Amino acid sequence: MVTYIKGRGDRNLRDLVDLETGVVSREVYVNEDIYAQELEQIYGRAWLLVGHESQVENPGDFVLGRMGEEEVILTRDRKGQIHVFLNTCRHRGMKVCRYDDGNALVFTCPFHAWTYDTDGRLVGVPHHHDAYFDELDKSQWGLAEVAQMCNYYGSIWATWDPKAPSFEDYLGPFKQTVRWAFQASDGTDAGVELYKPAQRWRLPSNWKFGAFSFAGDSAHAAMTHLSVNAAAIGPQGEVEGGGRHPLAAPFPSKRGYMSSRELGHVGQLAIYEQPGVADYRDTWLLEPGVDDYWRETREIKKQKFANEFLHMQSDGQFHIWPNATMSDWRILMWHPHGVGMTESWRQYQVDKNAPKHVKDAKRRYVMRYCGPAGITESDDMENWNYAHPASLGMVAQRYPYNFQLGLHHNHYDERIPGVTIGDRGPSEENQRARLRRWVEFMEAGSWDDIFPVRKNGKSNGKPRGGNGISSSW
Amino acid sequence: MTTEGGAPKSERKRVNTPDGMFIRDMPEGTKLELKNGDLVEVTLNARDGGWLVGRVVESERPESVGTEDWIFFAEVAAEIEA
Repeated sequence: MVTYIKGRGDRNLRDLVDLETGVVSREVYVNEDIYAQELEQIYGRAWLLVGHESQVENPGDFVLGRMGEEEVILTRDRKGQIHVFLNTCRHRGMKVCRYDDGNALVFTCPFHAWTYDTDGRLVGVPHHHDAYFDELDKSQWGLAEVAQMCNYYGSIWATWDPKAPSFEDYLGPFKQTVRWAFQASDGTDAGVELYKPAQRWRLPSNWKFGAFSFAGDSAHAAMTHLSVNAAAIGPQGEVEGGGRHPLAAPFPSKRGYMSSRELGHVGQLAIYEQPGVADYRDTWLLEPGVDDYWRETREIKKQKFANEFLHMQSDGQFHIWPNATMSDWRILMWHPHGVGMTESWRQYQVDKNAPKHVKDAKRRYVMRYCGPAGITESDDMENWNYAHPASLGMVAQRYPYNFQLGLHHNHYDERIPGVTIGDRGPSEENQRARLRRWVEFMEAGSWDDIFPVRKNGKSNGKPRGGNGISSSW
Repeated sequence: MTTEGGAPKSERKRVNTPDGMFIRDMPEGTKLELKNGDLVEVTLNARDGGWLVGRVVESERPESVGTEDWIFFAEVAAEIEA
């Protein structure tokens, strides 16, 4: 059991994160020792989103990704198999790939020219015969590959920990939610591709500000996004007063903050009161012809799922522990880059088979909305960029953050077992759920301590609190 | 000397013998003499300036004739006229 001990008195992590009262020390967000512990305990262990198969369609295709602070190569070898490798030469550590994406027969280190096939094997070592005397066993010096990788409906996930549970087990009640995010608009599985390239930029703020806020902090929107709401950046323009989001037809449902306290995954999602899918509502009023495509694919989807309840699917955004936020139109990755720096990545799904004018229209919209120049995210960045330095001071750290919104006002629903629901107004339950999982990961000696999460028998659908952490709702 | 139909070593016509062959754009099918004396035919070029794959067509080590291996540019002695 790893515990964090601070010099100013002996305190462990549970002194810093009190979920019973909803009070969390600022040190959790600004302390360098805690951050170092996060890299090992969380990023060395969890399943992480690396990329998407559409980024490596052909043999030899590669694209760089990140797992925690470290750069990885997502590539498809000559036999068509996808791999994720650490981007570092086994000889002296140089990056073997310095392009963001491309197609390669081999990855040749520019330092001493050790060269690796796209399946990771070390295939070439200069002077192997005349100076290594054929004694270097190349089979032992291939690129470092992740312990487990999963292609989940086109999305590529990986973990460095061979003891991590299967990816589907890791997702728990969010399995279908993730599947849905990679469906085409007509409901076809793995029916999307990503716009290229990814947007990447750095925010001077701890990674948890973004990662733990998204899909769980709608209370900020009224004030923070007041101006962008007025600017009417949505595809419908100023119709119905404008807004940021596309128009949607009503459908009988109950929306709420839904979280797996046990697994740390959360979402702002819905339980549906009837099977099926909502009608399409014309919304791309400024982009001629675009609604025609979406209307047509929605009809196909409605027929496909006419008799199914799509609980926790079909709309809303969600977050897969620890650092991937997504919905059916965007993916937000919050990579740690030092205790006070986040490397933020944005990628956007679009139907593979959509016509060009639809892809172009959607790209223009997402770029208005998201990313370093998107005017909605600019609002968010301003908050985090100032909150971080304002939390660094010796005096500031005496005053904890407040996570009490909606505390103890949650419930569960048998239709979505294993999920806690907060639906009585804005709630910070989804943020608390991630902090709960954060403590468990930071304390755990191995996956044996944190999975399976219900060791003592069957679940009745009610979430429990975690290892020793109160389960009060 | 075991061969796979190539000319004997003494009869090879060297057309390009710089110190450190520039191989990046070398087409597949090119014949090369290596510093160990082997004659190889380029079957694949990584086009990174460092490495290519060659099939041994002539060698003093009979077991290596017909095999393919990665070749570092510094191992190349000369290009041989086809």
